[in-house]
Amino acid sequence: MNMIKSAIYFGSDQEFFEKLTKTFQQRFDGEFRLHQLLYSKTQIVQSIIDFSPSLIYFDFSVTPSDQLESILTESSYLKRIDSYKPILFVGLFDDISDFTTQSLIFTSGFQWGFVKGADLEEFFRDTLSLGFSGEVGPSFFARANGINKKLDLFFCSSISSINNKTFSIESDIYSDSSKLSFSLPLFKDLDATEFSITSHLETSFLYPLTDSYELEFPFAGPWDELSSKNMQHETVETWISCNKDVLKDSFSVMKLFSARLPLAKELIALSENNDFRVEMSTCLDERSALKELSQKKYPLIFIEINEFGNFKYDQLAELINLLRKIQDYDPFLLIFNTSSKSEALQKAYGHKKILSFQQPLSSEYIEQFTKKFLEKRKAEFNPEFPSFLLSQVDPRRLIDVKIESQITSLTEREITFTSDLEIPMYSVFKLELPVKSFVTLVPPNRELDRHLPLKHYMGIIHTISELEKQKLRKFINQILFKPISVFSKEEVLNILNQKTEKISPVISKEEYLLEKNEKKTQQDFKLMRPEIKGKTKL
Amino acid sequence: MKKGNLLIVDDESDIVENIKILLNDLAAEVFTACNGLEAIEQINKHQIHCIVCDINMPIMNGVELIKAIRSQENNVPFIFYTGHGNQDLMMEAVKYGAFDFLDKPELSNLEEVVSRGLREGTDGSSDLQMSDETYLSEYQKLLQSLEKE
Repeated sequence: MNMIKSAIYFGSDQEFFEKLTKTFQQRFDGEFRLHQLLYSKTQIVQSIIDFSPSLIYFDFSVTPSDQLESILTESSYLKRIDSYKPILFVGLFDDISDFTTQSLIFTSGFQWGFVKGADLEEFFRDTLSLGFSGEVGPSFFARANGINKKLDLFFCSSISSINNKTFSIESDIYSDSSKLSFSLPLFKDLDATEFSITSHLETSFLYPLTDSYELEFPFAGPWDELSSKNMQHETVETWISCNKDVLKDSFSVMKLFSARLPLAKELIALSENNDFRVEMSTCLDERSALKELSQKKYPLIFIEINEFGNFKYDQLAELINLLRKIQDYDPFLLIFNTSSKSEALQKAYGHKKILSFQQPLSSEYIEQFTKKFLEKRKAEFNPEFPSFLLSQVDPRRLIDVKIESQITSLTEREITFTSDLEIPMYSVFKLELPVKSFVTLVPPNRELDRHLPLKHYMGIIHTISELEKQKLRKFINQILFKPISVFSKEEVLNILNQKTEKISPVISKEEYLLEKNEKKTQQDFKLMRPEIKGKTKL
Repeated sequence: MKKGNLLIVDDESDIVENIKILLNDLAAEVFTACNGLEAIEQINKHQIHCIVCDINMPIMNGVELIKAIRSQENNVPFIFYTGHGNQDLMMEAVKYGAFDFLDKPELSNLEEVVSRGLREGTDGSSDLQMSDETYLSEYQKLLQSLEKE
């Protein structure tokens, strides 16, 4: 069955939209829905309700900057909801002078970017393929193989909260070591690049990233000499005090199981005006629910029964079974849209803390009940050291978590590398060398050599200006003839300054296919549902 | 206050008689049935405001009975008598709007539960939605009772 392809363009660039429409017409021959919308608050949620898109293009080049916080709050919230994770969010830019805006965007649910002025055809091809099938097609650019050199990759991550003693970050990097490597932008005089992990959860609280870490500030001990690698306690206290007016209070987290996406609009509004947030799931996936429930231990869980939807009484039974598996965890379950009384549900499911309501769930109920609950449990939710959040648009929250990898091949479009870490598909990282750009990890479009016990990954390079792309092309052409000895800034500059060898930058499609003994053609992409973002096992 | 009519459904006649004696004063009239089919006949003949029903019966069990009654858009409160090992039937029954479950052979809080059931059945408040204040008050009571524990 051919599914109708649905996509949305948020923006007012008519020329771009016309080119996008033409591409859709050529590619999908009428079997598509493409909508142009202008952004207003909660419009992204509404557009998903109205059009069920697999792909959303957001034109930041024509969006007023005062809307950025609202957009990122909405995209972050949506991309944390199970059913909406597969939607590909693409950002369009006209300026990438310092990558700050792009980093804010790529930590808030966006997974692809485009700098206007670069090659549209390749961009459309990749995003349409990725958005509707979760995969990208093969590359026909010259490839420098067998590079096998160390290269640092910088994963787009974010500070989520800070208190007097520790700070928390969220990232797609899973690390079982005791430290993480990154620079901390909060304190200009601090040169430390490694921070000790005090706790690690395989879940996140604010951003659509997979892991969260609590880390220690590198406080100087009583007998330590102060240097650029450590700091005094007062530094953090003073920083918090001086930034109080731009910091937000931390929050308690509750959980909601409901298939009604319109509730998301109300929940986003609730989180802006209260000291709690409600995380939404539209269905019960046992594995991820068990992980989330055991790590977050929500004290209140709201459930809306829908016998014709994703959350029936059977799912309620499964959920309560999951709760029993978690030690020291006994949450309140507030069950809506049920005609059974509280006492009946308590006894049927063997869970005392159940209250049932005949009405459908509403944000008013959520607000009232949560506030009452938090009032009663004031002491429990008022920690000794209160934590504070940086705003979604505060560039100081941006962290690039560095991982060492071994680059194996490079084209002007894709990079392959090995790493001992398990990295989720569709994670976004930054390249500093050979040129500055962003890369999104994708399922490999060809068989990659085994480098056991290391994992071999493929990423597609994007959010790169045409000028930088030319540099990259030149770099690749040079290393095809003279392999690079080490991936360093100096070495890359040397190579870029060399006279270009006169070769064709692009090998023919036939040569490529012949070389790899490939049978597939460019039109031969499978159309499948995109993968939900999560850890992969290679 | 107007008293409602009660229906007792159980295939064990001794139990039916004992419950009837205990609850006679609470209800205007007490009807009985020994299986689900007979219960349906009684419901069709008389206005019933609350049902006390064994969940596990031959011919037509309590779940099948509540399902049949609900399909006629009748929201009469159902109080089920359950024995050990009836968890699956209980989880099935709540899908159709159960009022409460009581353990066999306990009769200690039967009167209190049936009182509430009859009140709901006669007020018609099962058809009305509870007010927000009532919900909040129920919620606070639950929080307080669990804190005391």
